Order: sequence, then C-alpha cells, then structure tokens
Amino acid sequence: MRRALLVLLALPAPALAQTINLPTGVSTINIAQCTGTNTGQVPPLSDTMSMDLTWTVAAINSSTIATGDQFLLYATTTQPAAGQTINGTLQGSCTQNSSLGTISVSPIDTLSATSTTLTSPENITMAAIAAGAGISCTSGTSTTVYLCVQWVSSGNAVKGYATTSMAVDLTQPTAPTLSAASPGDGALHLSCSASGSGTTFKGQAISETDSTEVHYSGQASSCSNVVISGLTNDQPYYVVVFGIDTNNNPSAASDQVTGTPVQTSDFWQQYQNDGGRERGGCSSAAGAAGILGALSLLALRRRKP
Amino acid sequence: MKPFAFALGALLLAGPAGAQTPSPRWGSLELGGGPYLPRVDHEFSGKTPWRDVFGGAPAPMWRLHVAKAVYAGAGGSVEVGVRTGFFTKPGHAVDKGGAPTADRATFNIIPTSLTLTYRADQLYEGWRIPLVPYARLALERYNWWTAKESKWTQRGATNGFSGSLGAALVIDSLDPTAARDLDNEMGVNHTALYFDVTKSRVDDFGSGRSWDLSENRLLWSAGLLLVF
Repeated sequence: MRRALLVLLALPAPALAQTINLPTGVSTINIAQCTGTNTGQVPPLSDTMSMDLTWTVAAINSSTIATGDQFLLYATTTQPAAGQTINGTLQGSCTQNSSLGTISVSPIDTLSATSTTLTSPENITMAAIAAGAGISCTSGTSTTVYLCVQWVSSGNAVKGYATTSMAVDLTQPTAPTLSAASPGDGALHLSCSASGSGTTFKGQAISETDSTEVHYSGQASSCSNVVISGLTNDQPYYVVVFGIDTNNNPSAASDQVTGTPVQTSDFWQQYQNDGGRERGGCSSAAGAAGILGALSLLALRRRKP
Repeated sequence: MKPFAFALGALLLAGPAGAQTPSPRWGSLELGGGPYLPRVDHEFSGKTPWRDVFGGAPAPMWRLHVAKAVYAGAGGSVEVGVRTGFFTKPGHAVDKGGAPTADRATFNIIPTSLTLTYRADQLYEGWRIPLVPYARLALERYNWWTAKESKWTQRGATNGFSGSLGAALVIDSLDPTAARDLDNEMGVNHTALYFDVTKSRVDDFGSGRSWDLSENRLLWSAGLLLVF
C-alpha cells in the first residue's frame, strides 16, 4: 500500500486547465489572412479574416479574480518561456521552456477579466495576430505563431495564463501546367496537370476583346475537371488556371492558353437537328407503366391459404 | 476450353443432387446483362446522330428479372414476371460541323418489362439433364432520358415487345452439398447460368412519331439464375 502511494506521488501532477479555444476548423493563417485582405486577390477566394476566441486561464498560486484584473493577449513566433519577460513583464507560466530570452512584443488585445473563463468571445483578426508576432506576410515561408493570454492584476502582477498555437502558411502551391481549353457550349473545359496532393483548382477566362469580362470556374478537386461556364459562344478567351492549397493559398497563374466556346448539340439536339421523328415525353401508351405495375402486383401476389 | 469441357462433362454425368425433396417452388430471379446498341440511326438516310455522339460501340444493359411460377409440372414451368435494369451510354456533344466537343452527353434507359416465360424444367427435374431451354415473351417499356453536362435535355418512354430464346445451365451438381445447403437455408432450389438471345421491337408499336430503340441486331445476355 505504501509503495503504491509512493508511486502515485512520483507521478507528475496533472496540468492545470488552461487553454485558448480556436474556432472549429481554424488552425492556420494563410497569406490573405496574414495581410488582412483578399481584395483584388486573383483568383478571388473566400477567407475568414477574423475569429472568435474564448479561453480559460490557469490561476497561479490559487489567485482569484479581483477588481481591475485584465486579460492581455500576446502573439509571438517564439515559444514563450517560463520566467520569460515581455516588455519587462514576467510571463509567469505562459510557457514551459525557460531557456529563451526576453520577447519584446506588445499585447495585441487587452480586456477586462471578470472570470477566469472568457465566455463572451473576443473577435481577433488574423492580421492582428500576424502583425503582433512580427510576421512578414510576404516571406513565403511557414512558421508557428503562439497565442498567450496573461491574466494580470491592476498592479500588473501575473495571476494566470492560457496558451495555444496556430500554423502560419505563407507558401504558395506550385502553379499547374495548362495544356488546353477545349470548347463546350458557353464553356471551356481545361486540360491541365499539377504536382502534389491536397490541391484544388480554379480556372479564369478573360475575354480577348474586353479585358473587364472575367469569368472564374468553381473550385475543382481535379485539374482535369475544371470547367469555366457562363461564356459567350464564338468569342475567344485567354485562359489560365490556379492551384489552391488546403489552407486556401492560391498559386501563381499557369501559362496562358486561348479557347473559344461553341454551340454544341447533345444526342437529343443532334437527333432533332437531323430531323428525327421522336418528340419525347410519354408515348401514346402512357398508361403502360401503370398497367405493368398492376399486372406485376397481381402476378406476384401470394394466394391466401 | 478444357476446364469448360470438364465442367460440362461433370454436370452431364452427375447424378441427382440428393434424394432430399427440394423446398416448395415460388419462382425465379435472374441477374445479368448484355451489350445493347439501339437502331436509332436506322430511321435516317445518310445521317447518324447516335454514331455522331456516342460512336458505334454498344454498352452494357444490366437487367434484373423476378418471376412467379404460375404452373410447374411434368410439362415444364410457366412464369409471369417483371424485369427492370439500367443502360447508360456516355459520349460527347458535337459542334455545328458534327465534330465532338468537350461537353459530355449521355443517353440513359431504365427498361421495364412484363414477361411470360416457359422453362423446360422437366429435363432437369425428370432426367437430370442440366441444360434447360426456355422461351420468353415480354412487353417492353424503355424509360429514357438524354443529358448534356449532367443536365436533362429530354425524357420520355418508348413501348414495344420482345421474344427471347435461351438456355440455363444448372450448376447444382458441381457441389451437391452446397446446393442442398442453399436450398435448406435460403430456399434456392437450383442455381444456373443462363444465356439467351432476344429480338426486340421497341418503337411504340410502329408509331410514326417514335424512334426505334430496338436492339440493332440480336440482343444477347448472360447471367445468374436462381430458382427458388
């Protein structure tokens, strides 16, 4: 029994509950989110530019909420360390690594702390996080940004903390290789190839005669399934295709090809064009289906014993 | 060829699957298919809309047939049944000059049939000859639709009739124990492989406002037959 107690005492103490909750599905900051805008982005993509954060801080030395307490939200690319200071302020237990030096960053957000759990979400832009961490959004590299909430007293004494981290993906995928834009009816079907996995594709067609007439395809999972529709038949278009990675970063444009949509006829239209006699719809024996069904039921009906 | 000849020999020489009385017979179920190419282009002189869009190769028509035995005796068996299935033929829409484009076009049929089948079952039930010929008459209704880029362009239904001749190769004697178990547990009296040829006329009984969805020549099909 005594040995079992010793073993239990030797086990590490459970970590205090402390976490910053990211919205579901949000774990990465991409190029548009880093810069804070996707206005004018080619191709146009939908990116969420901000997110709602909640958190629960872990109290240091059984601290309790008091009037004047605040939450300070920091962002840094350097993993904060225990005993580390930010702008001369001790970071408390915001980190686990004590070997790193001082981080000179300012809080990106400050709000009143009325409970150790923030239940009313705090909206933070990804751009503010990137700027707070000193990330250059054109670096073309990937890194990790650490978010750290510090619970401080009115006298700036650290009373608790919470942390999390996010990936920052500033790497563009490789541009696909576009070989042809084959004509369809008011549409162009792209033939292209791409390396790598997890990439989707979006085509762009610009009218050769009116550069303001720009059309985009939907986002296709395969490079050879990209179809740009809504085009005018017999009008030539300049066509490119973009790769889009899993974090919604677009590639540079592929090489440009030209394509011209044309009027097409499927089998029915071709049959009619050739003077076929069938007119479609149910035939004169329209009730045949019903008769067949009724007879079938009669035929398959089990006789009563 | 040798394995086939051996199997056929085994079937022909095999004795009865067992002395046990088979379970009561209700009917049969067929699952199979065969290549189908409609005669649509035959109504034209010099124009070939089907070939332009779909080419000249047939595509498989899959069929499922369920039939109820209304007579089973020394003279064979007669079944009344229903049949359905699916046929789809992909192709490419054509431009004004008739050249294929990148737009996809399809022709689809859900065939439905009311069937009357005679099977010469006495050959197997009486003399254990495993090759059972059969004949079938059917009223046909082909429910069809055409599509371009996955959007319907037209739909309709064309009626007709067909006649088939075929044979079923009973394979119970390949594994009599398994055959008996299948009957005891699932009520399947016999298992067979079938092959038949069908001559169809699906043109709304010669209507001048209908196309001809009859098979170009003879429609052959093959599959599995369960008598239960």
